[in-house]
Amino acid sequence: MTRILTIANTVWLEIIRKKDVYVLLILLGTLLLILVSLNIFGLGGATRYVKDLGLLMSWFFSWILAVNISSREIPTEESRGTVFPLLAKPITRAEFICGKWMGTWSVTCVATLLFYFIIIIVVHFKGGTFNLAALLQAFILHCFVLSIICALAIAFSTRMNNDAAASLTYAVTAVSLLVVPRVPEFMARETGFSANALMVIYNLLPHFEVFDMRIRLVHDMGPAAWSTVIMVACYGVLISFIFLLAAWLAYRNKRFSRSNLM
Amino acid sequence: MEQPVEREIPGIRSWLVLALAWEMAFSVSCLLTSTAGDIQSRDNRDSVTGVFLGESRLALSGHFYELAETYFHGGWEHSKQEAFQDSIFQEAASEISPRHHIHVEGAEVREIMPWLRLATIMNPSDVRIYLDSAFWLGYEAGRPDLAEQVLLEAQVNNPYNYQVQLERGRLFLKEKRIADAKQAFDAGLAFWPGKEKTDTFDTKDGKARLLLYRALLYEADQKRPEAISCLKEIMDLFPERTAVGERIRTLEEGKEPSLLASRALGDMLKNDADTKNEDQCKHRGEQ
Repeated sequence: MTRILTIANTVWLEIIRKKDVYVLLILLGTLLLILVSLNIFGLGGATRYVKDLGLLMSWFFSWILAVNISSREIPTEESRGTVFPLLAKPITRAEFICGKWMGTWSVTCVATLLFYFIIIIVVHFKGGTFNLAALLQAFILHCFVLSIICALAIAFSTRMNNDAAASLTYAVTAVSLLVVPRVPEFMARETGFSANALMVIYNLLPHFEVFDMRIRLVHDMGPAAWSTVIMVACYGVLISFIFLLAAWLAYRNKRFSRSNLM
Repeated sequence: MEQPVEREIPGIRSWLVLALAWEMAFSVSCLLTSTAGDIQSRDNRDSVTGVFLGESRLALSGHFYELAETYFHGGWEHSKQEAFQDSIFQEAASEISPRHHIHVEGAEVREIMPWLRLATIMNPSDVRIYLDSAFWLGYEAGRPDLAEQVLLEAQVNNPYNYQVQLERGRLFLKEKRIADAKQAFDAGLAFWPGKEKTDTFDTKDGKARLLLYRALLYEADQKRPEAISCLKEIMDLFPERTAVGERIRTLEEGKEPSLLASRALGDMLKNDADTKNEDQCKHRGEQ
């Protein structure tokens, strides 16, 4: 575990040096301030749209952050050659994968927490409030989505370069976010091969919609049942584990050659 | 032996290149300005959104309008028709994001206004969005002053639209501003049909409503010939409306109609508001 935490720590140090998180934080703050300054027919007191768009942006930015950070970690280590001294130490490849995943996941979770803080401040400034229990549940489930995304990006990056891994992760997660939840709707209009293809996508890809509590938060519906939240969290753990297992299987016997060093 | 490198002093050639580059930049700038001018002259009502978003702003406007509808239903998307509803993921998702079908009312209506505002910014020529905004502001949110401003903006962006005048007239009537209401209804009749086709039910019904409001206001002012003239125009549009025919006969006989004009106006306003409210609650596929 210590070795995993050490690798995660190096991920943290590298990401702090690069400035992706700060840029996204500034962007989120700016966009929310522009949103707040919108004149709504001279009517005040509306806050749900700020919550809605703020949470949407936090999902979007955390998605970008998770994919970009996770997909570049292993390919960068390989292309720099820093992976050789690292793997020469008594670190197993499973620990290496887990350390990278833990580092990228924890960074994106902390960044998401900061996004949530900015949204809370802006909503409070507009006179709105959040149900704290529901907000906590939403954040926990959001973190599990990020865990899946990070694990998937790392799995792809074990056998691909940075750009290819990022592109594939974006494609798969975009389908999971945008298409999979609407498959039952599309199925109402499709028949034959396209209907079968949709069902394959529906059953094969992760279902991110079960982690999305934005509607509950925006429309002040209060917290969900903790039993449901725990069940969904278990689903998140299972999917993350499957992707990490795939990453380890792809990486455990990988041979490195000097031609990889560019 | 190495020859010393002669450093080139910026001479006339460099200045010529600089002047040429400057001239090119100036030409491009002039070209862009004239293009922007063309865009503005084609549709000067949405200069910023039009230039930046192009025709995609219409799709965005439609999306924001749908979002307003979703907010009105408390986050419930009534347009969803699903092939199956019993998968484990759907059950989990419905517990995480419940689908309670409600209709927001009172002060909560203000929550739908940002989406309507964004929809009008994206597409200022869609009168329907302005009319809905004015209705919710004037009736549910209790801000007729803001509703009037919205309708003024609608008028500026859609000059000579009879629907805007009809809504203004209703709003003034509700506020007991009778003279303003008369002016608005007269303007509406003058602008009818505008860009609408005259043979559709909605367009004809719009004129009939303008005429009925105007006839009742004439009646209230004891101007019976003008009132009869308006009612006859309604009969030309909708001969099957027998109640209007009966009212014409009563007025022509010099009797007082059983439903006095002031009472009829109040009933009509309430009826129109209820119809509008029901239209908002009418869901796709429902009659």
